[in-house]
Amino acid sequence: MTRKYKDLVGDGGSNIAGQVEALTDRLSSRLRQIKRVIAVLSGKGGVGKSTLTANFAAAWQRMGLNVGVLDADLNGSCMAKLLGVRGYRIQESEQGVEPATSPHGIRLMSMDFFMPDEAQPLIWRGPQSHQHAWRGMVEANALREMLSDTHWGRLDVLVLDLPPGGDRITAVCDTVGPLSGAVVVGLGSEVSQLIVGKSIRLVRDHLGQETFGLVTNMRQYYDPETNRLLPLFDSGTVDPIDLEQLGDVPFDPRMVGCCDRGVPFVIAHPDAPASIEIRRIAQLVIERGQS
Amino acid sequence: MKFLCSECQEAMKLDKTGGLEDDGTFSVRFACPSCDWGFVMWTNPQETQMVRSLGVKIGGSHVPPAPMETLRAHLGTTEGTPSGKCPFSAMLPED
Ligand SMILES: Nc1ncnc2c1ncn2[C@@H]1O[C@H](COP(=O)(O)OP(=O)(O)O)[C@@H](O)[C@H]1O
Ligand SMILES: [Mg+2]
Ligand SMILES: [Zn+2]
Repeated sequence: MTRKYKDLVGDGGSNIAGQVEALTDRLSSRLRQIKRVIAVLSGKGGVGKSTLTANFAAAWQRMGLNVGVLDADLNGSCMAKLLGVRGYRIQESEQGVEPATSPHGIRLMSMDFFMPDEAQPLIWRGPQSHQHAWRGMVEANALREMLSDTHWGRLDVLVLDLPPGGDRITAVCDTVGPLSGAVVVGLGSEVSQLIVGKSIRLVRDHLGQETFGLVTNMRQYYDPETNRLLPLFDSGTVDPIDLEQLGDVPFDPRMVGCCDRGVPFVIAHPDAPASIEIRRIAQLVIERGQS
Repeated sequence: MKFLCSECQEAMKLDKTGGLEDDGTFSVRFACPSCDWGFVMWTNPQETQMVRSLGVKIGGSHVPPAPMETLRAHLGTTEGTPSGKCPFSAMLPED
């Protein structure tokens, strides 16, 4: 009788399993210094995940918390620009790679800091044919390293800005392990509800992650001239998503300029309805994370 | 992947790594601890890359990986990491 796989003890001396375990330990010891890991996700692109990540981070920082941001959207990173730390080049210390610190005190790690030129797309070195066979693995490991090898210090919150797409959400959850919770962002339109609904079922029901609730972004338009809130589109017939509503952040035409200048909107326009709502949601999420 | 000597029913042991070629193919020699039998496994570039992507070194390593070693090795910005100029050398144990 030929002996089976499970009958053979050890890994024949390649020590691969042992090294993978050591890398996992490295990640766990880093995460022990971080009180909460909160993911901002949607499944859909262009709904305001990155913009809200930057603004929640700023709101938490203003609440007196130590905040870090991990730009987990490796192929579409933009947090360096949103937080005003474009052009930062990584530095190493005894404790790992030093994150950038924004003018408002938010620590950030992003793929942008490793790229020689921010206009270039992210291209991994490796065999050019059959890239699909290994690309996901490289990205999962790059993400693990960005988490475990960054000298975050003690953090009250680490916010992850996630890429769109269910497969990416799964890969990130797989790497990070249990989150304190996820904040899901949608637009409130029918198309958005459809895609966002899928991500909620994926993250909550399939991956078993905690979800704090849904933020609807840009359903309303705030006109700073007239100080009025108007509906942006007719959303009367849309089926509601089966997740607690955390709030509604209106579209504010001044938001785009803030993103471009690298100043979070909640800091530039603290009295705007969008800022008041973002702070209220930020407070709610922190309270949820404590219970 | 595990290998079995079909004669002795013993698990084959990693004997030595080597034969890392410019084309990304890579060789590992395995030997049976009980008899003299041995063989060399060649991986194709995609298989080599799969191991490399895990951020591990075949045969283990005495030094822990440098911070963000896998990420930097895959971007080609290898300064400050022990991975040298060959894109695959990061997966070889250094000594
Ligand atoms: N509440 C808002 N008011 C005005 N513009 C917004 C608002 N939320 C997001 N945006 C704009 O929408 C665009 C997409 O946002 P972004 O955060 O990049 O989305 P995602 O990360 O989900 O792809 C950006 O140009 C951003 O400035
Ligand atoms: Mg984004
Ligand atoms: Zn044998």
